[in-house]
Amino acid sequence: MARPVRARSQPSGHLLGSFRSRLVLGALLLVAASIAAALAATQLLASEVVGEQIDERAVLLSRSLARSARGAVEESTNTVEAFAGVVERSGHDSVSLDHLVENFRATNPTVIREVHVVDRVGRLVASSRLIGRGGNRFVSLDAVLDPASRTNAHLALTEARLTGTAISDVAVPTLPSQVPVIYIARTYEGGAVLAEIDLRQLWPIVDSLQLGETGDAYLVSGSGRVLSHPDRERTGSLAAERIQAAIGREGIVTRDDPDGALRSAVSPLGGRTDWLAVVEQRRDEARTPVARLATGALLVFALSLLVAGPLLALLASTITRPLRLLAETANRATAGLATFTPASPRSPREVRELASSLAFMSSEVGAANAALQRQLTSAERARSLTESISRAADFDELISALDEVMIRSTGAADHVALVTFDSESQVRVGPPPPGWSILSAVATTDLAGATPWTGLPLGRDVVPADVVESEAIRTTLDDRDLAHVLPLWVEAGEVLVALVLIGWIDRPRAEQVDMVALVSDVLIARIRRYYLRDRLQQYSYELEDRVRARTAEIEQASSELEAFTATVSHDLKGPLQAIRSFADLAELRLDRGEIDSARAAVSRIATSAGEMATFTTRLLAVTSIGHAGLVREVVDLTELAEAAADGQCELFGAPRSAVTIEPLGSADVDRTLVRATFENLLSNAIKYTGADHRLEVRISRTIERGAITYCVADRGVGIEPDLLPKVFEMYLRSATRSESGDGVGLASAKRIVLAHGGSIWAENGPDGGTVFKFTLGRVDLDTALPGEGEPQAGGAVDTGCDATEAGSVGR
Amino acid sequence: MMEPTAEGGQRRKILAVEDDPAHRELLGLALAAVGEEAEVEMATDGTAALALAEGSLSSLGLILLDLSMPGMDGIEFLIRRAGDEMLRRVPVVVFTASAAPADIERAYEHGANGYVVKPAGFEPLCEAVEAICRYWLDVNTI
Repeated sequence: MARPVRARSQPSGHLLGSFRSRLVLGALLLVAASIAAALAATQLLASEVVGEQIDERAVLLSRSLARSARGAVEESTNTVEAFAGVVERSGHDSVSLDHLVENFRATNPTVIREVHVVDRVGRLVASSRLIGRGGNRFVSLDAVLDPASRTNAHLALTEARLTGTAISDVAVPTLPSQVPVIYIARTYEGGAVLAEIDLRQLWPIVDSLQLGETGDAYLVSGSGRVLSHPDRERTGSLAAERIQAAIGREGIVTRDDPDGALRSAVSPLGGRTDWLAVVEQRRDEARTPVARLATGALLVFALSLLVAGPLLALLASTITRPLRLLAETANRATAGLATFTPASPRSPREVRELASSLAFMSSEVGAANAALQRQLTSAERARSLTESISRAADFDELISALDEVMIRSTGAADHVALVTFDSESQVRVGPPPPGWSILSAVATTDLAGATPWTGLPLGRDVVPADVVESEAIRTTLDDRDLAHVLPLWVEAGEVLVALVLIGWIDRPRAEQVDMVALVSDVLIARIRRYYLRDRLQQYSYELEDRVRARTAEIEQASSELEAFTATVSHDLKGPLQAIRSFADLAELRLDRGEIDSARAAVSRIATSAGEMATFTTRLLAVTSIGHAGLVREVVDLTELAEAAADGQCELFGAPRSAVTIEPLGSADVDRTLVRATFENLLSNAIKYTGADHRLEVRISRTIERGAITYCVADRGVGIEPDLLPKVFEMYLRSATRSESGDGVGLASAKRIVLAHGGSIWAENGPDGGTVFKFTLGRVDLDTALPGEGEPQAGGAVDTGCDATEAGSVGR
Repeated sequence: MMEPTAEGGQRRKILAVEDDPAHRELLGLALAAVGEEAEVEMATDGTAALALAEGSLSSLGLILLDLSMPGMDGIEFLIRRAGDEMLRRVPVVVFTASAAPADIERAYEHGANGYVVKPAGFEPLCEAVEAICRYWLDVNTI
């Protein structure tokens, strides 16, 4: 632990005194660096806790930081102790300032200035700038990157060193595919920069600024944060904004640096001369030398930020304590309480100035500590609130979560309006939570007609201009100190809701401003990611489904076409060849005068030609069946089936009594085609009832799944179960059937049924035989037969469609 | 491969497998016209052909096989034959109307010894049948 510093009472020479004062300054620098690092780490930690909302990897980061914190605090303690030891040993020349600086630098070689987290498609998910406002984030690269990408980052850093690049963008695009984010760390090398600055040269420069004579001095970072001001109550980022607006972002602005001495002194800082701004404000009373020294120390303090490593502030108090002791000791020495013999006329003044500086720094650390606590609390609150938003299951929960965010966490929005659009363009205004003032006028007049935005991506920039720029909103928000418009797109339950959250604060505090920005950024990032992921997934599924469906369709069409071609080529060629051959034969026999046998050949020609004609006709029927070609009329299906049965029985020489036809009712169908269907199914049943089976065909109708279904049941050999779905393919003939067929019949029946908007399928009866069933699409149930109206009330059902029944009918 | 038959007349029975009655008749007429003295048996599908072949393995010298038939078709017949040690020794010539490359490929793939596209016209038919018989019954055996 640090020990109080006791100045030696032994006499010292001027040189020693000068060395001691330098040593003290050097040590002060180091302590200041630690404090600065602590401050920076404070902010980093706070922002990374929030960052956990954005990416789970931040949890890992936080843990790494916590580990680093413990190490850093130990390191700081050691530094302070070393400093104490140096002061105690100041009588010896063996310790040099440069040596200390060198040692410190060696342990903190690399500093990262900014960290940006970018996802794979290049959207900024989190950024040290985005989270919180201003300031600088110091983080060890090791803590940010996972082991695999760390190697790449180190390579990039090494390259930057080799090429002498002080600031480099380190992009790590080669992360393993399961890592969802890419980190880009903007880095620079503090150590190399420090070596080029002779800090002792800064003292006369600071003196020459003569700030104490003209007014207060602020140190402002390039990102606009006021790093210090003697009047602590007046520092803060809002003040920084105003200052920033006043001075711009460029360079060091002082009235009293006409020859640019300070500018050139810090220019070796990697060209980052915009990093510091000393702003002076006029003040009536003259500055005291202590204040001047404090300003100088602050400048050093700010510079030391550049060399600070990944130190954390969680235990900043452990630094505060030795500092306070140091300051007390110095004060006591000045007051003569400690035995301290001035070595030169300058010494007492230096020590007094040192005491003031240390006291100031002590308070700085205290303030930083308090700020850390505040930020941690805010961040934690923001975390739980954003969580509750993402969990919101419905609109009301969402409203209440947003209420929490906008009012309780910030304590900020005096007036908040929530305007929502759902997927149907309905504009809703949230129920007014306590303390909310609803802009109902805005919602009803200006937003009612607005189209909810549907495009990608989400965020501030995608809010329709006519919503955000609406006159009513603008007017409402005019003259407000802080107005915030937060567009959201939230899936609350099953409803996609677009929100415009409008809040304003008449007299905002700085942390309110930060909080509003922080919460909205986190929300937007989260919502955007959630929404995009969802949409992307959905698109991908849809695409896959469509590709699969199309492929299946094409394959189906292709195989059907192939089968069709095979049928045509074979079944047209066969009879043709026979005709040709019999013609030859007839000619031959006629030449020989064998009239009778020639007549037989001619008769075969006639038969083959007839077969071919039939086949061609049926083929044509199959190919020409289409929705457009149907000639619909109300047809008595019973009559139609009777006619078909008459014809088929005659054709195959089957007894007509083998076919039983039950009442089928009427339907609005194409008479010719439906008759052909009955014919096809009948001929199929007759042909495939083997010699050892009794020919029994039964045509009936039933209601299945709410649709009138016609059944043609036979008592034949049945069909192998795995062939059942394929029997309607062209030219497939069951191996168990012995009679010939062209395979066109069932294919034709299927096409006809499909053209009517119906469906056809085949089942094997429980006791053998096959039942072909088909529907004819839009046949109204009005045409139901008496007693058939209810699906289950089917006398007709029981009498027809299963093979058991079919069996009992017969002759 | 090319081995003059030493058994002359021993194995001269022909089995024609053809589902179309007109073609069956024509085939019979053609075989008679070319003076083929071999006994000819007709089968209307693969199942019948298998039964007939098993019954006359010793004297069967050639099988003329149609491809598209109801019941067991030509390819299925070839597959069954491939699994039968004895039947494999009887040459099978696919004699069909189809000249589709896919059919030809499949036939050879399943062990057909020849593939002849049925010509149109009685004269060409006779010529084809004669050529097939001369080659597979007189010149070559397997």
